[in-house]
Amino acid sequence: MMLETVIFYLFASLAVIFALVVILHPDPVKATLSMVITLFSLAVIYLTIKAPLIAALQILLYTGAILVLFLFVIMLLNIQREISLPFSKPVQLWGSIVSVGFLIGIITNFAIKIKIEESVKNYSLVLIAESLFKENALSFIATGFLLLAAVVGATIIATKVKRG
Amino acid sequence: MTSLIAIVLLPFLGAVVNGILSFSNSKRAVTFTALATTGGSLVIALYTIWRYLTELSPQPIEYVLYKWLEKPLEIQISFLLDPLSAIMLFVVTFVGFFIHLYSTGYMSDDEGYGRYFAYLNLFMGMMLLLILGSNLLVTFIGWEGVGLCSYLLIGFYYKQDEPPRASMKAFVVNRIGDFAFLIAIFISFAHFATLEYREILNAIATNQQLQDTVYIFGLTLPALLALLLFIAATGKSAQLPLYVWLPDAMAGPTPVSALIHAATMVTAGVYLLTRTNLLFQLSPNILKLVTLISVATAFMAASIAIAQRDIKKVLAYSTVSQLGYMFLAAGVGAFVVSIFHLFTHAFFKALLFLGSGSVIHAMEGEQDIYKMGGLKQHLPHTYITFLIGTLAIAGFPPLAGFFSKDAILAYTYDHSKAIYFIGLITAGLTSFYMFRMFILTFHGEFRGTEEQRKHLHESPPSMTLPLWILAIGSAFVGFIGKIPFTHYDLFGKILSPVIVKLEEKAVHHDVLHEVLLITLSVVAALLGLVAAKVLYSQGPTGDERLKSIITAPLYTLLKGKYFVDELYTFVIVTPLRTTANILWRFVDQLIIDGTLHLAAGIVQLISALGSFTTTGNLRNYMLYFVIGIILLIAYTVG
Amino acid sequence: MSVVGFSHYFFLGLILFSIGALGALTRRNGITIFLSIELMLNSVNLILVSYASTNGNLAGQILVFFMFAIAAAEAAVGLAFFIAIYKHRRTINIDRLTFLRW
Repeated sequence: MMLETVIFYLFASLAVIFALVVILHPDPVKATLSMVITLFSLAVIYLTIKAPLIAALQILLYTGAILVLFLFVIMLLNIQREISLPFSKPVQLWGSIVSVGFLIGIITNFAIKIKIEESVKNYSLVLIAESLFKENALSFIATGFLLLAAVVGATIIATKVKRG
Repeated sequence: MTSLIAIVLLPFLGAVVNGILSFSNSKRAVTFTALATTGGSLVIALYTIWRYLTELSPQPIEYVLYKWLEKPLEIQISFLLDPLSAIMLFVVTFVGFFIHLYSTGYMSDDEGYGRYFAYLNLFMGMMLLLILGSNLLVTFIGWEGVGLCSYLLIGFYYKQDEPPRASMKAFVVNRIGDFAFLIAIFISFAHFATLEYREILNAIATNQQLQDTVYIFGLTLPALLALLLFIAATGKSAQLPLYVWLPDAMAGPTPVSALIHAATMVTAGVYLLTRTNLLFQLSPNILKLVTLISVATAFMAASIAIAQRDIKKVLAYSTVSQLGYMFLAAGVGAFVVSIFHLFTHAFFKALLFLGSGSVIHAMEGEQDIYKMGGLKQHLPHTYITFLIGTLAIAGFPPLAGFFSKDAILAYTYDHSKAIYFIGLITAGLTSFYMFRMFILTFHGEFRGTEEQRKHLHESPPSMTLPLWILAIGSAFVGFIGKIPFTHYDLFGKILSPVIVKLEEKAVHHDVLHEVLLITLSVVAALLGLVAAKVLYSQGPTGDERLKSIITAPLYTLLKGKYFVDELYTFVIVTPLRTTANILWRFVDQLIIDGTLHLAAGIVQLISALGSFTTTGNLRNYMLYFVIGIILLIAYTVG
Repeated sequence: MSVVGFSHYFFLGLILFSIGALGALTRRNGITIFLSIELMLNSVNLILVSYASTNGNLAGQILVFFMFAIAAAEAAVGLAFFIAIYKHRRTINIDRLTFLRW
């Protein structure tokens, strides 16, 4: 009991701290590496809510694939001289902070009204797979096509530009 | 009568095909299309007319192609074949075909060959629509269509200065008449809820009250319609005061002048009057107006023609004058004779124009008769056929013009001695100016340049054949009309169902009167011939002697065409142009454009105020997006 | 459900979302903005999964599964755009990429 609580708070604070590093660190490489830690912490938190599949996918897909892609692009573009760009103009900065504050306030305002029916069901991988391949088979196929289109599109966009 | 559709549609088909072919360079294909469509139309028309007129008592045949509009504005595209349209059909298809044939020779070196035949075929189709239409609207479509083709063909040589100006003039002047036609259509529809000729005429004939009550401006309804249709006719058929476009229309190719501005289109007004002759017969005042205007036109145009140097201008004024004769016949109530003169005139005037075209062709485009002369040896076929045409128009028996003109004068004599006298003088003038032109062109010494003399040649057979056909026609078609001293009158018999006889006008002069009238007209023609011969046997110096005979101011007046064009320019064109300029400068450019510019400026100012939000910066846009979401959530939740 | 209630997860998600939103709205570097957006996406994932698990519902996990696929596609295309823009303009500084206006 206590252990789980400790684990949650530990990894939650890790996630928040490194999320802050992501947005505050001027070097995109280090920001991306901080993002790895944030996402890893989230994966651990997924385990505490009995979603091991999502946790596994989080590590495999996000940290393993997408963030590596980010790193790869950063290295490829070699944007060293862009790393130390300052923040925005005050209007944009304060406008953003105020807006996000409002957003949080509003979301919180209606989130506290949400009713929760506690239940202690456990979902095995089999159930998820059944749902995925029976009820949501069409969505699954559509997702496949989406990924295919993304691959083709990304290839075309990234290669076809001719300079000057 | 399905053949009517074929007759009308074949030229349209030819127009479309030639229009497409005009983009290629295939003159042979164009020639084939033009001749096949008009020839096919002619053959079918001849067969149809023969079948129709040999019936024992031909009833009008109506063929409804389709209903264009349903009730209450019920308009159908339908054709009417009755003796009148049969005769017109014959004239249009027959003369039209031979002028097409002639054109293949005349236009053979022109780069716009395909375009020319596309227009000419279109004209044929429109003209057939005009004469075969069974209601005012179909006729009006044809009426406007031939006007359009006339415009296109007058301006055929659009790279020169004069033709586009002349085509514009013809178009604008014709609009005045067309306006009256449109009003006539509206009034007919408002009162009879139909545009069919037969239904309108029936409604008027059977309604005595309609004939008697004054409708507007002191005119009864039939009189008003008659007046409007006559105004329409003065535009299309070049009568005073709207004749000014026709002489200028000679800027087009000569076969066009022959077909459109002599034989067919300009006679549309006469056709319209005869088609609605009941209206005119019910309104004697309008008929009086027709008589006065027509006789004035005939005399004035003939007098102008004696002082012109351009061979086509002479023929153009001659056409105006002869059209005046046709209206004169209609004005004195002799509609049959009017159509008869239209019929004979189509032959000899087309012949004369085509002959002049042959001369111009030989003279390398020269139109000034002062520079011609002595063409007799070089153009034998043209010479003989032109002579026949000249004799016919001058009214020498037994050529076609004699019969029709004599009949007109005879009817006029019954009507009014004074008008008859003017008509007679006009006949003499006609003979004079025609022989003046004829002698200056074909007799005497050649007065052109050496180069032109070398080029002199008789036209190809494709041009001389139509000349001969029309010459034979000009010589003999007179015999189908009324022959003096007899009761033989084939034309009158054929047309009798169309012409309403309100009262029996027996025009049977005693033999003495008839002999006298004929002698007088022949003497007038002979006098004209002799005068021309005496004055012009030494060439153009005859004009000097003419000037001394009729005094210089009068000669200048005639030479300057009574300065009608200048008068119109001064009275109508210049004020209109000034007004238009004022409207353009002040109303259009200053007020209308200014208002628009002001409105545009205000919008620009406002948008400049708002456009600072469009920074192009992605993060600003994201912030707008977030604010938008906040507002959206606040609205849905709160 | 676990010892810590749904609200904990919710607020963790909310905090991460705001951090992501602030990053996206204030940073100039295109890659960092993109990373911030991924962060926002993840926070939403967290809330979805935790809410679904709390309610004993499978749909949340299925949805997040699809969102992973979409995130992968989005990252591929988005990064391809950055490569294309960089090739064209020699920069991925958002403040200097203001050519999408008249």
